[in-house]
Amino acid sequence: MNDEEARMPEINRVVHEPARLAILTVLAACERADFLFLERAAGLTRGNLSVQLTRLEEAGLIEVWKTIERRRTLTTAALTDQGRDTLDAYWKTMEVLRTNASSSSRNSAKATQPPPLIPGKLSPTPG
Amino acid sequence: MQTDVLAGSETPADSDKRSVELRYLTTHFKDLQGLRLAPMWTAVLILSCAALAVHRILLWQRATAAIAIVLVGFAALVWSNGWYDHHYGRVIRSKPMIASGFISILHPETRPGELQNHSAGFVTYILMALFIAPQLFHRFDGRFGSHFGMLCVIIFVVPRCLYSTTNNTLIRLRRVLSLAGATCVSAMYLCYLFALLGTWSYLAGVCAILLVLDLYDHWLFTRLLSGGPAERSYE
Repeated sequence: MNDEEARMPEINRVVHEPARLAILTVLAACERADFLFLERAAGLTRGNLSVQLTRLEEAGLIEVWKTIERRRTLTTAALTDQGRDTLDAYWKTMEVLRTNASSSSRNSAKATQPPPLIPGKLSPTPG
Repeated sequence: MQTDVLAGSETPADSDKRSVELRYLTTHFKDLQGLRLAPMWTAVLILSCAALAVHRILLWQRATAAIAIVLVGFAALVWSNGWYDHHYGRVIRSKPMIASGFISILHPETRPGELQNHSAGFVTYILMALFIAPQLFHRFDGRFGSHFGMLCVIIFVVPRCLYSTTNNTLIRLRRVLSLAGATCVSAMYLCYLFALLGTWSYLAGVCAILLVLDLYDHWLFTRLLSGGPAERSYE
């Protein structure tokens, strides 16, 4: 591991997964959302969404409620304060990584750039 | 290690783009459900086109049309509320989008908390129905008929122009369409006031514009909802 990699911030693995990130993003934009909407928004099957919600709930990022409405179980989820802070921190980390990546690519481009040619002067040919 | 993590999933830019879409979709969840009032606009549009084709309309025909529009619109609103809930679920918004008093009361998307679901939508519809129905019993005149279009613009179109947009092209197009629609209705309003446009043409034009805007909203709603990766998480 070189110095540049050592300076990179750690990514939250619970958040850094497309489906879970989609769930957290949806919940961050509302007070509460139900299971069906999360299923459609995250593009997951019911079983997979259930697993992801359990994972997020265990991590303390969301709260899940189950109520009975018209003889059917209505599952709703909401982001906790910890979840909101974690999501904010995740986006800040991603921004830092993005900045680091763009600056390092700029530096490497400069290093591999050929020396500027002097107009009117031919470069020496080998041999 | 971090680079491995990044390589194994979406790039930050893609993820961010999808997040922007999801945030917009969730914030405008009810607002984008354009099929709620589309049947009503369609009914009025058909009636207006029929009236344009027939030169003389009797009072009982107007009365029947008014009742039919009210019933169709109300039934469609009830049905579409249930249909959207059943197919797309529910979202409880955390705060109203627009703080402005008049629009906050009338617009279905600016309802606080738990009350957001259907009640204000019905209130809005009843206001509209009460506004249209009497016009069908009496002769349209500039005083009432012209206000109908502007009332529609204030209630249904202006809020779409006020919402913040994102870099997403389709979301920006929504605002462009709304602005264009508001401009067209305003121009038609002036034409109607100066007797350059007939009553039924005016009504048909307003309803056609509202119908197009609502259909675009519904299309955008389904597009944003299905825009993400499908079933990629197996952890």
